[in-house]
Amino acid sequence: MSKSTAKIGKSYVLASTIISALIIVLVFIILVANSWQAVTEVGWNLFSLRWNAPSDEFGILSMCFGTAIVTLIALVLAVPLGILTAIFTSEMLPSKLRIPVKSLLELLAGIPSIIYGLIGIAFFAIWLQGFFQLQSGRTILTAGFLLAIMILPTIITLVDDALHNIPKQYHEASLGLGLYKYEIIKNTLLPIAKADIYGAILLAFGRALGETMAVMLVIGSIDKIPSPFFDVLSPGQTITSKLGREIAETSFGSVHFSAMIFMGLLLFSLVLVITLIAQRANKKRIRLYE
Amino acid sequence: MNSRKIINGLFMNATRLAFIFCAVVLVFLFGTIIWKGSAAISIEFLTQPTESFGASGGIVYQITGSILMIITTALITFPIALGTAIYRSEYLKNPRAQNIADTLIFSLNGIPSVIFGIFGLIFFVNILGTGVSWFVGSIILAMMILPTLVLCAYQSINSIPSIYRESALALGMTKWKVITTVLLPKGVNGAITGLLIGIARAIGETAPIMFIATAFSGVQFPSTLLQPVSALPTHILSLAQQATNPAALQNAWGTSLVLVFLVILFSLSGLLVRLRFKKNNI
Amino acid sequence: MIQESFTELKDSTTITDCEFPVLNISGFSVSINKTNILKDIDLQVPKNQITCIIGPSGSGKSTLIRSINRINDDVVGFKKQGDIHFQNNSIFKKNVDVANLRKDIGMVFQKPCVFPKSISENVLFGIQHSKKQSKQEKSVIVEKYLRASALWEEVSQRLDEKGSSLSIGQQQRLCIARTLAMEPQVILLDEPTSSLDPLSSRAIEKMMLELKKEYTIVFVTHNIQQAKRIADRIVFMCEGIIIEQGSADEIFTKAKHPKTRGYLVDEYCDC
Repeated sequence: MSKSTAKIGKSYVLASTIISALIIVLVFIILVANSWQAVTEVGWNLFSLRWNAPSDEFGILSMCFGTAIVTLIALVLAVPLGILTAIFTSEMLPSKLRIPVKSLLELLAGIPSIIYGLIGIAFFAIWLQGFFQLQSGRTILTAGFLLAIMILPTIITLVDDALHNIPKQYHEASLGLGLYKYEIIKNTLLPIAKADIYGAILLAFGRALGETMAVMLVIGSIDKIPSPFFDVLSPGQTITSKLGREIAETSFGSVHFSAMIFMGLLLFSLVLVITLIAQRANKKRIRLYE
Repeated sequence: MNSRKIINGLFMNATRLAFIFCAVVLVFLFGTIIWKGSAAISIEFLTQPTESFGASGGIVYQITGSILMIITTALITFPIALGTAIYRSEYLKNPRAQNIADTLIFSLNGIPSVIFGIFGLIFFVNILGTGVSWFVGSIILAMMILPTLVLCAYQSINSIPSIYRESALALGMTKWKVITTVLLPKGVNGAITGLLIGIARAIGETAPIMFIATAFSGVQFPSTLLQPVSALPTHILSLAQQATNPAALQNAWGTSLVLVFLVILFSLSGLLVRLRFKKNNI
Repeated sequence: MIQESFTELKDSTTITDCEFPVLNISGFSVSINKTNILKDIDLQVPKNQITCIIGPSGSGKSTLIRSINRINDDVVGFKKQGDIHFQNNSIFKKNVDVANLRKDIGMVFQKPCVFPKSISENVLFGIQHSKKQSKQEKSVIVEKYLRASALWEEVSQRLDEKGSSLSIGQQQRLCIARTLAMEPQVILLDEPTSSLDPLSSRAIEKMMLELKKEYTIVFVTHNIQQAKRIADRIVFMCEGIIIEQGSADEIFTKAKHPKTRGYLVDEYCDC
């Protein structure tokens, strides 16, 4: 009797694993299958600057640009800020306070992105509008700002862990040499934690790329690259914001739809590559699943 | 003047400033949600259905919709994640196969949530023809949080030293018996921790469900699997898009407060559960 | 005092050469991940005797004993040649039910491994899955085998407490009780006292001398004095091969191989 329960049991765990492993394969196949129409019908014109659905123009470059700029702004703001904060929490905060403070910061990460979007509309957009005397506060900069705050907890937590896990002897050896704290951090600790810090940045990068709701609400949703291109105070569009806004109203099976899926496929692939690199880097250290 | 000392001082102050900035942001975010949100909260708000597209009325069906979906998500993802963790830990021995499995399962974690929504739109709503369905929403959310549960369950099972397995085997138990008596309890605990963490995330997600599971108005408690529901995050979205209407905006804050409350509830539960399991060394 | 009682118990046993061996190991070689651990082992284990396997660490004693109950099966890269017969049947045949085999050949590990349950549940842990018993039968079993492992006096009042609340020496005796409850024919012990204090070690040695009346015991140890106290037969291993084997008297008084003599004197083998 127990032989058959063992057989059922083994089938159950095997089936579960197959299901888990095949999900991402299925997602990929669906994306590719539905991009195909756009690739064959629009071809290289997909990489043009004009997106005008009624006249069958599906150039995705403006969206790619938007994604790139918004992510860049977010990283430029969040990485230095996050690293400095992590240095504070891991090296300067009394150790009793470290865990509660870290937990509070992690709570920030738990706020759903739609609520960040709401705060963006209700505050940031209005502040930026007033400060820069704009027509509308929904700009690329607003989105970048918001995104920076959203990826900040990720960077802080990971960099703090990286620094904190460095064995005490490196710290003490440097102290013994008469180095100031800043020098210890800069010359000893940061170099050792370098790989982990890059991993953290990569992970934050991946998250920033994929963020939809907050960006969608504050970016202004204009399918154009601003002129001049560095005018971050004008509205724009990212891949995610375009998908979020329009996919539900696009008719399934049309070239329009397919072009949008193509954008999604690009984003998916990029984020996948980044995640894999970050995971591989993580695996190299014995802290496998953290 | 010791320039090293000056630079050190500047740097230290920079880190302090950075920390203070983050603390201010934290206080501002939570403070706003709590302050603005509580103005909207009342018994009626929590128990009445929505009226005039959310500008008035309450959010009871949004609450029930969200809860219904995440309960179903939990029921779908828990057994699959547990089974996967067991298989990965006890049966999958070939390092290459382990690598492939890990990559396939855990790369799911980084995928943007809007992609999941699009997948659901194409595969379920269109290809399989389910239409907008809350059950499909649960399936998609289950897919999203699966890696989290697998990871937590796997960590629990893997942390059991092999001598326990060997001692049980040496007593003449079959492999499956060893799994069910020695390993499964710990695996279940890990999966529960992962579940709470996953649900804390899933309940706040908008993009995966907004095309495929929810409607913004006119829905009540579903009677079949293939009907849409309302949900808290999508309700906030629809209200945010009416931001010029102060009544709608106020209700958006109220809904946000309810949502954040639920997220914190599940996150804390996950934390407590993990600490309790650690303490009892179960 | 203790020394006397040991010699008493030992002398009361009879070593007969015409007993058929319970375990017959022939031409047995093992490699793990292409590293040779055991080479061409030939060994016969007689019934109702204590066969001690001695030798320096790394000599393959553990690998040998773990192959007997096939607990090495799950080790990645495990390859074997040759055969092991239990009661005249090869244990490696395709249709052998390994779980059943391990009910007849029990094992006690070096580090006591107590499951996160109560003392009585630990004793019953293996046996509750093979037979259904009433509450009455269960408490009979618990008492019987806790007595056999010299633990009953110390725990009879607290059978419901967690097994982890016992001292290490008591935990190991609990593990022995758990193994005895399966009513095996052979008990394999892999350095069972090396984690224990001298008092607990002696208690277990005394237990072995009682148990061999009903069971066949294979006892791995790196403690020569311990082997002197309890062994009926000695198998001396070094670097994966058996250097010498024979009755304990022969080996300890007139060992033939120079390496054996060297090891017995210096506890050092220049292999």
